[in-house]
Amino acid sequence: MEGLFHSLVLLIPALPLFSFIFIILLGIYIKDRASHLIATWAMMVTIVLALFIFYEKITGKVTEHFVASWEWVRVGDLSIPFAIYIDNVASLTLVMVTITAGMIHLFSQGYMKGQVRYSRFFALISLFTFAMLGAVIADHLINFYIFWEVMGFCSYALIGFYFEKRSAQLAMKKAFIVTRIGDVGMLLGIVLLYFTTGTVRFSEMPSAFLQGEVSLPMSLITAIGLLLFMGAVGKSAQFPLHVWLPDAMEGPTPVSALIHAATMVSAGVYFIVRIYPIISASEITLLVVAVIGGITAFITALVGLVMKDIKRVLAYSTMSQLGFMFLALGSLGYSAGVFHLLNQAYFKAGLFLGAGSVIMALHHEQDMRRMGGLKALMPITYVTFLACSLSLMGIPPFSGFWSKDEVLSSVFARAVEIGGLYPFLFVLGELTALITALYMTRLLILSFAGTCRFVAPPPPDYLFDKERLNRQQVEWEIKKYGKSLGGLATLYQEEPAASSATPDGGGNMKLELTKELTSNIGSHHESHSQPAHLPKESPWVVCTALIVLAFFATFFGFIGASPISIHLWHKLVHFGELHESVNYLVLAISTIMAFSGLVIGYLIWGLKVSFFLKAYNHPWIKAVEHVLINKYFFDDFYEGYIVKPVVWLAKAFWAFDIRVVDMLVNVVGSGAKLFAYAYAWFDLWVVDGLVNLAGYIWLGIKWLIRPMQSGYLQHYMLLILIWAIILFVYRYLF
Amino acid sequence: MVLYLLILLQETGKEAYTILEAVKLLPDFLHSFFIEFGPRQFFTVSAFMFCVGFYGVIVRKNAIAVLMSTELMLNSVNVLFVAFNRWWGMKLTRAAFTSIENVYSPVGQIFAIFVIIVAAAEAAVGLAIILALYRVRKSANVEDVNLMRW
Amino acid sequence: MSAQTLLIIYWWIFTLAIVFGSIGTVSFRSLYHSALSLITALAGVAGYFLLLNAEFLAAAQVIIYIGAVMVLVISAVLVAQNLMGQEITQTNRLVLPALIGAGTLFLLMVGAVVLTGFVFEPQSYALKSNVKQIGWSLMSTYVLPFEIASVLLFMALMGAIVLARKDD
Repeated sequence: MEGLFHSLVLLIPALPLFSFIFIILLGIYIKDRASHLIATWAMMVTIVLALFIFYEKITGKVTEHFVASWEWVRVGDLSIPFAIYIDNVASLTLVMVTITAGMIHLFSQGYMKGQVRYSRFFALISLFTFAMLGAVIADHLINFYIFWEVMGFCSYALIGFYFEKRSAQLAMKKAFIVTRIGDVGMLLGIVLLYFTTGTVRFSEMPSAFLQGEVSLPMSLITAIGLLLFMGAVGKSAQFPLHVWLPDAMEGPTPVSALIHAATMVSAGVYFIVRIYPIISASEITLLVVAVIGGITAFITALVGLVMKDIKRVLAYSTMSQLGFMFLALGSLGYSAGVFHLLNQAYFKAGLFLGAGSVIMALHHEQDMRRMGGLKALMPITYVTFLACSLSLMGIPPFSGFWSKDEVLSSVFARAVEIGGLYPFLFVLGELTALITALYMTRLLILSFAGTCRFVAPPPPDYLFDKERLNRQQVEWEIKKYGKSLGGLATLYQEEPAASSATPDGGGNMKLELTKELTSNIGSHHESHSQPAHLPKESPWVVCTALIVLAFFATFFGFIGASPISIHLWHKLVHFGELHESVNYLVLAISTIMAFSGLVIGYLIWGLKVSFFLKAYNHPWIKAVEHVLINKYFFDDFYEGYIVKPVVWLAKAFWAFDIRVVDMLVNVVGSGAKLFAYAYAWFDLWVVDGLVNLAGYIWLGIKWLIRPMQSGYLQHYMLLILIWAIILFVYRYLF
Repeated sequence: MVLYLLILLQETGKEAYTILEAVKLLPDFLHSFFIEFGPRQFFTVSAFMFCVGFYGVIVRKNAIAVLMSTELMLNSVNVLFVAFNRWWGMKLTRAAFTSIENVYSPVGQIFAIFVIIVAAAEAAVGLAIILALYRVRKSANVEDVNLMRW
Repeated sequence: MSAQTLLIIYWWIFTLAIVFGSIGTVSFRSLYHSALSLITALAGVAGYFLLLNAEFLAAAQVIIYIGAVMVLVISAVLVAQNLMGQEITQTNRLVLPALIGAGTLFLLMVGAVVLTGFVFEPQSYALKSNVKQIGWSLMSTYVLPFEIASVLLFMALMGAIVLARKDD
């Protein structure tokens, strides 16, 4: 049974890897249909396997801490095994990752239909899933780090999937470099951990750190914990390194879903869950984790209030929810953090896929100012999106409520226990819960309620939105040079067709574009590229994925629903001893917060109460909105104080290199050249002269001795005679 | 011939000779030359034959004449061999079941026989070559054959 | 008249034959005369062999040289003579250097003979006939060179035939 078990466990990452290899090698030979079928069915089988493993775990047929290892690398004393470690968290996470990633595969069939690099997309998301699954089951930190870095590469490649777009290029670079900053700390932490304790296997950490088998000074444990946490901060987009995640929206929407739910950001939290013995061993580390989580949760939730782009709102909500998880983990709420991780994955995947469905229906329009009224047009998308949104807001029966309540009650317990900064963090968390409900209500109302603004002329603030215009500018260029960019124009093929319905729509692409430009900037009263048809419901693959995820987003939380079955969840996932108390106070506060956010949001954006509109025009509120729209100027700060100095430094080094180093090299080179000229002269006239002299000497000797070879026999005989005489005379003389 | 004499000189005289000494010794030599029967007389005549043959080889145009001069040179060597064998032919030998004794050994004569054999062969081949040459070139002149010229 | 005196008289006769025969060989214009004087010189050499107690060699000299080789030479002369008339000069331009060179060589050789102190004793054994001994030596000690010489002669025979044959 054990052998079957761990071969099945190994099969879980092997199947996506197989589909990656198959598609990436044969992608240009097989049809698009074949590549998505292979990838999707591999994922379906993986889902079944993960469920089977989960079943085996909960029925107790395998040990609670299942470890298997194979020797992989051996260099001298250093032996790196390939090891797997399946505890309950890992098996639950496997189920989560496989289900969300499988649904995303399914969704991608509908979303990516007819786009460029179709098979490569499926290959890359398969590789991404493989890396995440590998990281989930990995036991050894080196194994984990390898999968972690593969994930980093996949995010890089997928965020820049439309690498013809300048913004995508910048976003992919940003994501890669920012996460790399965290990974450097993580690598240092791994090395430090290896050289101080030698326990770099997750399965050995609890015994090592909890039962005090290794004796390390507390400062060193703190340092290791913080360094390792740096990696999680980068990967999970927490407060100082969070800037890459909103820009990662440049990728296709399924990629956003994958990054935000199944793989990338979850990996950071999962990493902290795996190394929780190290984190929890130090109070300082715990506090840092909690503070960073709380700050991120709050500030990113605020930014979510003002974003116009539907995907960006969801991106900021992801960061906020991840902040919640770190807040829980920093408050010793281990099971709460894991619970929220899983819940967040389900509903966030559902939200992103719903957003993707909307975007697909609106011909890649992501701005919420042009949405609205989709409730009637896209009922399935609406219902599933609503379920996921309610889950995210924390409205009671939905699963998000239970996990958010767990998180907040763990923070509350910690605050009651040791005080310090934790009470503030608890307040921050409750406020964040309110804001979360607020911005999700805004999103729902703007997108789905009211009339369909997509067919109406766009509002002026939409037309003059600088960021959007920059994006549009890029898209025009892509349309203009579409053919030369390798058929990227197919991405936007609907829009020219739509504008051709307008009276002045001509065949000339350039003329059309200039007209569009002038109509955008000059006269927004005129009709602006109105689509001929209304948005319609997405195909069945998309709807299936949405329904499955909405189901999990709604009902998964009942595993850990506080009054009913908290014991079940705590039995499944716990750290240290069980604590099974249910804090009804926190439960009530969270519920009130969620509902009040919902109500206030409805008052502001749904009913448009005049009080709020007046308040909105207040200069202070405007100032705050300005700050929020610019994301607290983080990007500008980094650009101005980190990127620019680095670039200046690089330029200075470049100048130094050119002016000084190259000059030295050139001086040496010129000296060598002069010497070479002198030497060449010497070679030509002295060495060659000697050689030629030797040649000429022999040439002269030739003129002397050649007549001897007259060819006449008798001349030779005479020579013989002369030599005989010479020999005789020699003999006489000596 | 020349080499033979050189070896002879090396074996007999250890010190270097000068032409002056030879001139000093010449009257004695001439005095005994006509009244003696010894190897010197044969050697001198052999040297004379050799030099005349050499002169003929160098000077004569006709290939057959050159061949005849070569015969002269070969015969002078034969005379030398036989003369040496006549006066220095004793050799210490030990035949089976006997003690060591001085026995006459006709090595020089046998060498002369081989020289005669080679000379005969050379004459036959040489004449055949000359005839072939004559047939091709319509000439037996040695100077017409300078194919070995550089 | 002692035997020594008789030997010296014979020696003088053969020496004169050799000297004049040699000079004649290289200086006659007519090839035919050259050949005849060569025969004279070779006959003198045969006489020398008799004086030096080499009777077998003397016989061989007469038979091989005077009998066979010279007949060969003379027949070749007769074949080739019509082109080499007596009118044209028979010597090339190297007469003077060759004369000087050959004379110098002769003088040097004579000098060597003069300077060398020959130590010998007049032996009586040499008076014995040694034909039998030569025969034994040829057939025992020197049998290998003898056989090689026969092969050489055969090859020379074949070569001469091949070379002298007309291409039909």
